[in-house]
Amino acid sequence: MQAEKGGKLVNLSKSDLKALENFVSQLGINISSIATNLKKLEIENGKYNDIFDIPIQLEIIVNSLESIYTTGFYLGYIKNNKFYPGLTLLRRISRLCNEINCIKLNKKGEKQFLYGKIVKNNIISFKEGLRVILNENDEPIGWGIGKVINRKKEIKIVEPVKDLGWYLRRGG
Amino acid sequence: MGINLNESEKENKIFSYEISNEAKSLAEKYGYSDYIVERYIKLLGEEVIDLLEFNEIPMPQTIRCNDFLVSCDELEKRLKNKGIKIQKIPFLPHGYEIIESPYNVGATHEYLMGYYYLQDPGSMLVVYLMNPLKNSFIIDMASAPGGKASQILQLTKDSVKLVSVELKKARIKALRSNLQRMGFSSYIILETDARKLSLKNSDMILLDSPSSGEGIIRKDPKRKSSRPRSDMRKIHLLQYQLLNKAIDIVKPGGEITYAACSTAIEEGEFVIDRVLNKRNVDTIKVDSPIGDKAYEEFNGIVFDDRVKNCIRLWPHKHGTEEFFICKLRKEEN
Repeated sequence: MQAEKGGKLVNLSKSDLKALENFVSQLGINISSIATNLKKLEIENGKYNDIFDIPIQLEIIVNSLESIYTTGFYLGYIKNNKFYPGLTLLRRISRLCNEINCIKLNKKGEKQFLYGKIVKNNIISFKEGLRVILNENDEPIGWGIGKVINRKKEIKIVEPVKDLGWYLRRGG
Repeated sequence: MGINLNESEKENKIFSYEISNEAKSLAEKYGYSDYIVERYIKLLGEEVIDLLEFNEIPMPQTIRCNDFLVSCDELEKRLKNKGIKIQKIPFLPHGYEIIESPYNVGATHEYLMGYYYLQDPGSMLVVYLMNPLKNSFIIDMASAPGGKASQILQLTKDSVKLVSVELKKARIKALRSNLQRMGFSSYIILETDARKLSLKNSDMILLDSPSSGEGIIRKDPKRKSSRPRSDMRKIHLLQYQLLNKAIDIVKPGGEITYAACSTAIEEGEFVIDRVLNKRNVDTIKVDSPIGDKAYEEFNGIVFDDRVKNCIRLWPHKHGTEEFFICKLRKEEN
């Protein structure tokens, strides 16, 4: 989900920052690892807000404009005090996969995941919760949720949340 | 020889030239509007058949490797491993032609990861000729779907301040999606009519103008006859207005790259001729590895001789889509 019309960039509110903090803490990182100049796009009667990291060189121009459609590095959006990460954020976070836990799939798993299917086997490394999903080459291919679905904790699955196939299905 | 004509007489000779029987007959044979073929005859003479025949050959797919995210050697290797045969295009540093592919090249994992962009060769050439400078303030006045905008960001390593402007709602989502997919962030997208921009003093402007689209007949044969002749005046006027706006908002000494995916005089030489006569701009010689010099005369109308610094691409001569490309510099005072 990203805005369908233009708006004005403003600073994040305390509750926005809290939503973002909740998200990054799930991954075991800080906000400063993913952004240094946070802004949100405020749209009249908008039901959610797109969140961006604005490169410093754009700031003067951005501030001079009445309405912009999008700008800078898109991080995701906040709706009802919850942050939903965008695909672009994958690249920034995947650089940290050595320190945090990402999920890694083999070739077959990658294919299933990019078709928006639940991946059952074909998992090289696993961690529960919302994670960056990597392919065999350590390239990020989407956001997914790692789940253990039986009591013995031996059946693991990855549910797709948002995968790169979105660019074909919904990207425009 | 040129005749000294007033503006409206000039326009009549550009927009309302007579159609010969030869043009009518060729138009019928190849499925074109006759005014397009008459123009080809006036520009190319006997070579017109070469063009009409060449336009029957579908355009191959071409891609631009995004070396902002992946090295072109690595991309070559990965596509080869997938059974996709590609060939380097000699005059385009990041350009490849798809020779054979078992897959839709617009849906591979490499495409989704932003490692390449599907882009026609003439369109790529425009941005190399523009030569965007790192850290500069650039406005792309008709930006969707983002091929040239992403190329500007790629060539400048995402260092510029790029304002990408697009009016059409249906196309702006693709622009956003493409710039995001390819890993860039140093841009601002505005949904507006570029003629209403309030920005000033940009270092460079790219105006890949909305056009008749005659240049992509090889990709979309419907373009042979989809536009009534009366549209040409409207298209010309829009291009002229946009170029005037570009001159208003570029800084003194700044550069404008004007391009139109067409070889219509109405969309190329005549647009440039009119601004050279009225505005404080000059042309810059386009130093291109391929292309013909622009025309200095059409149907008895002699254009400002600085128009010769602009270039044209012809499918049958250069293997590209049709293009008119011109670089202008706004004078200091």
